[in-house]
Amino acid sequence: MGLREGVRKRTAALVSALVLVGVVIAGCGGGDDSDGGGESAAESSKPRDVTVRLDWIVWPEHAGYFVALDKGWYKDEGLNVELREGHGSGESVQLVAAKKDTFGTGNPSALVEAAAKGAPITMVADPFQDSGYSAAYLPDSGITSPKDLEGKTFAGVAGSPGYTLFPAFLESQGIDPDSVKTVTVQAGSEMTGLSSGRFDAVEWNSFAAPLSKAAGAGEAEVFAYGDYGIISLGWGIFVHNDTLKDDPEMVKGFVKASLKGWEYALENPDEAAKIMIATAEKSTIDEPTMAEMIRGLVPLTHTDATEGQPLGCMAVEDWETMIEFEKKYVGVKDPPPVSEMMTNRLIDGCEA
Amino acid sequence: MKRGLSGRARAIARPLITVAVLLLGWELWVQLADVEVYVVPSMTSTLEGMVTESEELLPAARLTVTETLLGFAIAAVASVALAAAFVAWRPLEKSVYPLVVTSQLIPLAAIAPLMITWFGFGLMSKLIIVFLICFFPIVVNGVAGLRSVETEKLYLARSMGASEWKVFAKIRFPAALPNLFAGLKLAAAFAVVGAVLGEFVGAEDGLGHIVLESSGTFDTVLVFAALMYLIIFATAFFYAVAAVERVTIHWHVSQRTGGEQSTRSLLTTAEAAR
Repeated sequence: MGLREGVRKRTAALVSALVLVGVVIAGCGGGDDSDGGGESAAESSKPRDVTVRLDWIVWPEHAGYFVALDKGWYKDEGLNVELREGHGSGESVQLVAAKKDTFGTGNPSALVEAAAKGAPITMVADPFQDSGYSAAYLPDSGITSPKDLEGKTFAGVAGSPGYTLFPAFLESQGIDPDSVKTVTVQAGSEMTGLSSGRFDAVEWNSFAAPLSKAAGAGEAEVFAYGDYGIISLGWGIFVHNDTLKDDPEMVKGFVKASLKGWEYALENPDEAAKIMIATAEKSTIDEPTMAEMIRGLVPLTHTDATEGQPLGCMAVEDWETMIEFEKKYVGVKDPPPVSEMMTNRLIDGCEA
Repeated sequence: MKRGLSGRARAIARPLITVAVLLLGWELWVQLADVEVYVVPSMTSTLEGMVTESEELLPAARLTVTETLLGFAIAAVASVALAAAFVAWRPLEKSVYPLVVTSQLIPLAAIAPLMITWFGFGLMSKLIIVFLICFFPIVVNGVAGLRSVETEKLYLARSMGASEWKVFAKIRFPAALPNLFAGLKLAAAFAVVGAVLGEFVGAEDGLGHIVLESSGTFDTVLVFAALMYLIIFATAFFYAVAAVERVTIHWHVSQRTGGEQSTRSLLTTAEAAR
């Protein structure tokens, strides 16, 4: 190989490397303000297309949105809503932060974790001040009190509050978290692991007990973290801060219709279950089980701090408690102030 | 000689330059496009995380490495034995080979959660997943390699009174080595993926476990730091297998640039048969 050829080859390699870098920068820089929530609200006559990224496949914690869609309450607010299945609160937080979806539903804890890393999102309503996260065990396991978990194996889904708050629950009962072996598993394999005896306890939601029976695992017993003073706020609605700033009326309309849907769903679980399964077309849960689980959501709507307030109102003190747990057990550092992560101002009648 | 040395230096420098350009591109992109840390952390913060979090990452890496190497070793031994059995006894190949192929058509990710239920969340389930991922390329390449012996060589050996075992050990097996190493290198690349897959569906520790846990809480720096550990290990493992290949079959055409091989190969054949 001659000198000139060598130089030419090296130059070519350098140029192609620089082109690659350029393409990557251009491609990613442009993606920031693509589709999603940021359109103007000028055309109010035509229904606005908005998408909602649910935190999971069609699940009881989505009943209100399906009801609102089915009853046409989103249309009444000038919204053409598309409900999209998701895979975890973390994913819906990321998609909304990236403006790939207008709204998202999910755990406030996921929002706090993302906001601490700079994700510009705000929770605008939360129908559930408790998520019912629990440690579930089988009745014949010999476990009767939290103390019995010592020396046992507990399995949960990485990142889920049911997993991250487990040590908080143990410590609240004077149990050393290190005395229980904790394992992460894929979402969906908790119950099979429990019924096959691989795990002595798994993370679960109190309202999902009927599902374990339907899955043949028997009626699992639970230690609901909420009963032990552990705050684990349930699935709320969040938006990108730009959407909230540019289009508060649209967001308000969405919140209003959603909460109306939730009130109806919690009063009429059977009808809500029917609507969900008919709308979703595919669901792994049968109608009676879904209805029973929606019924199980009813006690989760309020904490002492929000008692007596309209559905969806959140309490700053509950958030602050949750954030303390997040700092201690998840390692969240420097989250923004609560007022920048949640607001009640789009719901009429909230105290704060 | 001088030329040879600079050639080797170039061979090492080239991939390093590629890596350096990619790392630089990564850093530039994150800095210039102002990418938020929850989307992608910068290269520098990832490197920093690799050091500051090493107390957590190193023991996890040790576990993942153990799972990978042990699973790979078991797969290598079992697959070579199976390939030899296939070649030695056709009816076995006819009846079992289709099963081997079918086993690869089942998406492992789909049954991995069941593996945890069947074999627990400890080392066993990871070894089985790594084994299942590794054994196919080794068996397929092994069978092809063991079959690839020129019949003339076999005739020559037999005419000189070599036993079946001797033919296998001295002729078939060495002749199969280039193919076998191709299979082993493929398996080495997949093995790490298998171990991580196993850790994803259920584990107490390991790099895959850390990736899952930290991505669940938006600790992207830790996700990327763990991924870097995985990449470094996987690359080192692949090149280690390649190095063993270079030492073991230095005589093979794939490892040489010169052309003095064929006569020597025939000579060794005759020698081996004696």
